[in-house]
Amino acid sequence: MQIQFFKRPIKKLDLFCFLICFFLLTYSCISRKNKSSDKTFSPEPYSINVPLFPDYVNIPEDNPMTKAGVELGRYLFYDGRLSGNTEKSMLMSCASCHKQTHAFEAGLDNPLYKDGHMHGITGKQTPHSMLPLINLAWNSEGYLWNGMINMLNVKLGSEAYKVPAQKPFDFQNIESLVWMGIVAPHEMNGNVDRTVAVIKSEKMYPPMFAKAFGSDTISIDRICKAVAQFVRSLVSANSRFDQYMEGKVKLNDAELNGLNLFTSEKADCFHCHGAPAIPLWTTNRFLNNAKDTIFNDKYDRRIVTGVEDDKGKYRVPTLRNIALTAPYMHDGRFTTLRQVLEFYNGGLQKSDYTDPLMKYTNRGGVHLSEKELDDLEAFLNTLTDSSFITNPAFSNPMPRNKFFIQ
Amino acid sequence: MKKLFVLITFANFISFFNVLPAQTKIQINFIHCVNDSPAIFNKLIYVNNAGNKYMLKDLQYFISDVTLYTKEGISAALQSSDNIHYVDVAVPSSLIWHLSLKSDVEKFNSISFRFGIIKEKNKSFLFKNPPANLMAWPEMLGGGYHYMKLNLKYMDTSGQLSNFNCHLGLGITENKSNFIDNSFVVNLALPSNFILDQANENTISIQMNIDQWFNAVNKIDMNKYDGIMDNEQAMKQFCENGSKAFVLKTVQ
Repeated sequence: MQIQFFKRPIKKLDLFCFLICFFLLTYSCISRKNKSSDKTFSPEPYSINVPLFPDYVNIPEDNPMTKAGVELGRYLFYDGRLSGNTEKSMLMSCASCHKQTHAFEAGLDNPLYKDGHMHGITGKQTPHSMLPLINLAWNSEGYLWNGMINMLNVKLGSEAYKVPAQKPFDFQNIESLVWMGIVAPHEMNGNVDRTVAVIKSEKMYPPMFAKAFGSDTISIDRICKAVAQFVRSLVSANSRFDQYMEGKVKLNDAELNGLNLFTSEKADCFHCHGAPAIPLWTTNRFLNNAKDTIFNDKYDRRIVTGVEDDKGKYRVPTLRNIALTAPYMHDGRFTTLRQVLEFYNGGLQKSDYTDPLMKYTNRGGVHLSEKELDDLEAFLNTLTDSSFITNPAFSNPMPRNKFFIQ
Repeated sequence: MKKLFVLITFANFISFFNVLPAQTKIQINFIHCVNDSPAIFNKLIYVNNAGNKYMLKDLQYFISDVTLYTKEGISAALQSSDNIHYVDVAVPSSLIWHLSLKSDVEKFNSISFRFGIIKEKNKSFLFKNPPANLMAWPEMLGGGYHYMKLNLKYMDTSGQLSNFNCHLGLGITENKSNFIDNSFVVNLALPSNFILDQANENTISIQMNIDQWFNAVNKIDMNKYDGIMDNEQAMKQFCENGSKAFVLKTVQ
């Protein structure tokens, strides 16, 4: 006899499903019981959610962002002893080059680097001009101008950059970028053991590592993880343009005309740099933007793909805070935003390697009027986020400490 | 008693789902060719009917609202998370779209899909994530997303390699007062012996002949265009061509 509640007899499959559910329910109860008595390390998470930004966030499973981790990373980011040195003349930190006032770019007014052209602690030139540290957590295409550090990378180290292979630095994420900054000859040229020893010797750090990672063990892996957490926390999403999109402020006629030009076929900026509906203001793609006809930079996109057609290809940089991040282009050839606009207006160089999106290359550029260039520049200035460059959470935590670099 | 109640509730839950129509899996493959040969990118080897020698560089587009029709004209919409699919020839995973069909009907005579996204759905910020969000279409041209970005290089009249972008999306009327939905529906007949296999995944391969975008109805001379996004007449010509660019290749 069947119970009337059923529409048909219970089959083997139903019984199987029931048993699975019963098992899962029992298991969840047991595991909850275990968790309640678990005294494992559980630091307070740090959230970088921006509603309009992509859901994808580039945070590795073994380095979740925590408040303590980000704060530790902030100290290490500004600490000139990260290079492993303690002498004043040899101090170098991430902040030596990545200035908050310039959206974590070097800037043209940096006393150490003439015209924003970078070199490392030994005086060796960097392969490229600097890219700012803005919203890097949402970069899904790889870091550096050529994207060499990317999630698909399988090579440890880089012969071209003279960075040795060392596990766990897999050249896939920001952690490896930080490590490269410490050891690369054109950056800190550091000795990892010395760096770890110097950081260990500073009394304030062991408790900070314990708070961030559950024990006071200090290793290069943890140092890089902490700095990477801080770098991921550098979120810029409060420019005047963001406020305009939220309906909080109005743009003037010149700025609005600049926006329309930016997203028009006439100026055609948006195919590479994005639009209001691409709020990172970059496609993060690697393109040849018709700067040159001869390509002899061994660090262009070819270093990653090995494809000849990738000659002269570089990352499309974000336009967020673009007014603050001179010099421009991979080699820092332009010092003002106006020079960049004039290049796109009439200075394009034709080659077979130019990206097809650069459709006005044959006529040298987009040929806007001076007024239109003014408006375009006015619009680009609305992408400056002044709260980003003044946010105390991103600033030097110990400005009076002799080892901490502004 | 309590256990019995849980068992009864659970079994009823299972049986409830068992009386729903069968959920059939369908995989659509997207194939790209030039005049019946697989499309080759980055080589200057193709010539359209206007005599333009060209090289394919990038092809990205949206397909949406796939529907099957019976002989009597009864429709059954295929389902996915948002019923819109992004195709990029450079992204192999995008060349396959997994859908499902909730229907007990097994015999269908044709399949249709929309090239692009219907105007009512094609709104800015619909996609948050790359690469789909990188198809954004300018607000002043109606917003939403490109239906297609077909980028190529061609030999222009002066013998120089020039860039050409066939970018399609919402159009704008001449007086700039209204936006025009340029997306279009493509209907393809299914083989007469086609019967859906409800137990296994069914595969339907749709082929785009890229060359047809320049030839099918209107002969396109690339020398005559710069950008076409704000040129409704040009976009219309391309869309007329594009509606003839698709064929049903195989059904399994």
